[in-house]
Amino acid sequence: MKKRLEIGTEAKELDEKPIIERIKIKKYSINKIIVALLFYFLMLFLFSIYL
Amino acid sequence: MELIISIIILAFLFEMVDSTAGMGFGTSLAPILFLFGYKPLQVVPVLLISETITGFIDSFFAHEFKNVHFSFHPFNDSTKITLIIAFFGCFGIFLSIIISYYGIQFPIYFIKLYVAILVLIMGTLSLMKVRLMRIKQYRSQLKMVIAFSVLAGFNKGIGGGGYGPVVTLGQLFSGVYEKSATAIASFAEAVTSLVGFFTFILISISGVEIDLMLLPSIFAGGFIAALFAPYLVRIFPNKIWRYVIPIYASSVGIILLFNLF
Repeated sequence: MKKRLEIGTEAKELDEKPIIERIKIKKYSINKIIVALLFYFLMLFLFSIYL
Repeated sequence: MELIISIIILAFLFEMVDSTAGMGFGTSLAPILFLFGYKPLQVVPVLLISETITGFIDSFFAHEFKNVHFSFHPFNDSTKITLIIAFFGCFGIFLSIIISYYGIQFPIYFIKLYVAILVLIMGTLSLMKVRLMRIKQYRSQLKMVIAFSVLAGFNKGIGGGGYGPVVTLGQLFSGVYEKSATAIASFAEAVTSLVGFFTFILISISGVEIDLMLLPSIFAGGFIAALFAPYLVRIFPNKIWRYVIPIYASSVGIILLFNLF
């Protein structure tokens, strides 16, 4: 018997919800985006010094 | 530091497509940069650094936005598949850099022709599979994913490119959900690119000079795309990506063929 894997279950469940639900993201996700943007500007600052 | 607006825009556009469709950043951007007159040692290491950072960012936010679920304690199926794909990719990229460093010549025209035809056929078959079979079941097959990972690693090893397209389309053939397949491909490419960059560092120790002049521009455009692409993947329904990915892959195959003739 072929071994089968479970991948994408959460994505599939989310897809079954209306688009309004998919547009909403949690507050901690927004915080992570802000941290990523800070990392982005920090990297650009470091590039301006070292490159 | 010099920021080049045209390269920032190109990096943003190709990374946006790469993060949403799981392929195309290196395959599309590298030839354009060569056309601009940049040399391989100015382009390849920079693309590897950029793909490492954007790949990790893209897969992190794909997990955050529930396009895929990665687990490390214990490893879940998505993580295992990522590591398998990354392993063969790392082996392939290490081999290709060492081969090119020692000046071993492969018939590059035929290798690129083979990769272009392979990507075109896989893209077309994926599209036909969607149209004809109307897949409802997303229960992927491990052996098939491993087989495509070996094939992608082999492509990378012989220097023909096409790692992303083969890995992503291979997952679709194996039944992986499209949204998750692109995130897994990004994560695997990040690991592979990291190994590739370390291999370049090894080579640079022995005297090969690497130029990172393009890094700020490619990073500036690519990072923002990698940050927001997973959100787009989340919002749009999977049936859109089911068509977009194979159509885009077929286009990449056609462009590769046009570049050869």
